[in-house]
Amino acid sequence: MAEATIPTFMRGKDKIMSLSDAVKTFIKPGTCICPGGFSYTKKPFALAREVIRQDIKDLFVTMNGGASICEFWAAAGLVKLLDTTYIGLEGIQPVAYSVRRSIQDGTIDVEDYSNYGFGLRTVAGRYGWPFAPLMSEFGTSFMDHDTFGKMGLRGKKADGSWIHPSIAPARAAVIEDPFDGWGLRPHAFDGGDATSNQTNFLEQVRESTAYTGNKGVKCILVPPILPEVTIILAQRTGELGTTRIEGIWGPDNEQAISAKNCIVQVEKIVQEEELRAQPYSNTIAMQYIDAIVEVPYGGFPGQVPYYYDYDWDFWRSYTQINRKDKAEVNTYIRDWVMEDEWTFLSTRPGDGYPTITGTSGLERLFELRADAMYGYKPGLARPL
Amino acid sequence: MERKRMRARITEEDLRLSEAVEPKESFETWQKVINAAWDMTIVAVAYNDMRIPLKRVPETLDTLEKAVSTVTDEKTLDIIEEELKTGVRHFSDILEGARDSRERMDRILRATWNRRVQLKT
Repeated sequence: MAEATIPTFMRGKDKIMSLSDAVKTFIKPGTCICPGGFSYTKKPFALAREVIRQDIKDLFVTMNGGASICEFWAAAGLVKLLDTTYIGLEGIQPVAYSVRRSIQDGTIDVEDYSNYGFGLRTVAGRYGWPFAPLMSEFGTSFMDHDTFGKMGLRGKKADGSWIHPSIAPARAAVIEDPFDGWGLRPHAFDGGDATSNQTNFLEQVRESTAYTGNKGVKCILVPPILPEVTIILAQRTGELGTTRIEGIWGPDNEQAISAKNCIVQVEKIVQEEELRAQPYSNTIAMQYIDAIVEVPYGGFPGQVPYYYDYDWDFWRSYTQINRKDKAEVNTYIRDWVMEDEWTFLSTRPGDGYPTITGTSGLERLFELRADAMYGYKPGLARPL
Repeated sequence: MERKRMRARITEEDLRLSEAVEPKESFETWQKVINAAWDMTIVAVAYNDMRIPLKRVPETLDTLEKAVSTVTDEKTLDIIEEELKTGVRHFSDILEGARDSRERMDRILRATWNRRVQLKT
């Protein structure tokens, strides 16, 4: 069997790769890439830094769950298209500034969905659904915008192939509910229906003629996400790819399974039997994992639950840096990642930003160690 | 004092990145430190799951001990015996693993202290 045709789940231990090889093999200019994790938590920053080191441009970033990785890539000028829902750095910078500036100056073209809508797109991608239904974007301006459509990136070419394999032929579609609102729990049970999982506006919705011109319950359909590569961070992965995530999952499972290829950046590679002893605790089956990269502390400056907390002091300073001149931020981020990950981890933690203790490198990383009882580091100073 | 410093405005001087420095410790040493730390963490996370049930076990065993004297059917005693044998096997494994690791931790703490003294002299 030719190497390229060997299914992922049969490839065995050759999935274990160096950081540099994994990025070189799977991420190319223009790749539709989906970073996993949520906010500052469990973000595969080591992989993100390697993408900057290899200067892979024109990325099409699709993501749910915070913009911290996209912020670094935007700062390095590597992002061209963005299909997303939330581009904040949480409380410290509600809109990630490099992403925002690039959208404003036209360097990045963005397609935006509601959080719920995008979440359903990842679920559709995971289960192989052709689309997912929702109602929550009705009445919002989401329905009026279609950036990728205006750019001519939707639909098929004359030869019948898709113009862009990761961009759906429509942003969304509206249909009349074939079940006449029955799924919205119209109090059909004797004595009514006490569940909170229902709408109080069903009768008003029935009367509306918006979107189709006809009265009746309508529904929005959103397409699945189909990334070429998803990158995630996990605490433990077996040597064949069985992956266990502890703490908040975020959209990792959905996005990993949706993708053509998935790279897992992991704190520790362990024997498969260690994880298979409790199969119900595992998050992603080995056949969905194409490359395994072991980088302990590679989630810095983010958090990995139970292992280490995020470096608040870094983010506090970074949000001052990313407001500087665009070219200056670009130079900063390329200097910041250094030539390899070990040099980075030995030098950058605690470097270029003030901390209470003044520690740096590995010493700073161990200062961020989480208490396994809580999953984070209680008492870590987070001054504003 | 330190808190006040953290609240102070971050200066341009603070934000300057340094050149790559030769790490004071070797990559191999750090790798060994992280490896051991991560293994102890994996156990601590797993222990977190059994912390509450483990505290409950002595109490339920006390209750079982009292119940033994009221058993009327020998087959019930067979079942109790089997359950306890299984428990002894599992808990012995836990004890053995924990004791082995704990002893090593003490040993390494002593070695760390010795090395600290050596580095000072």
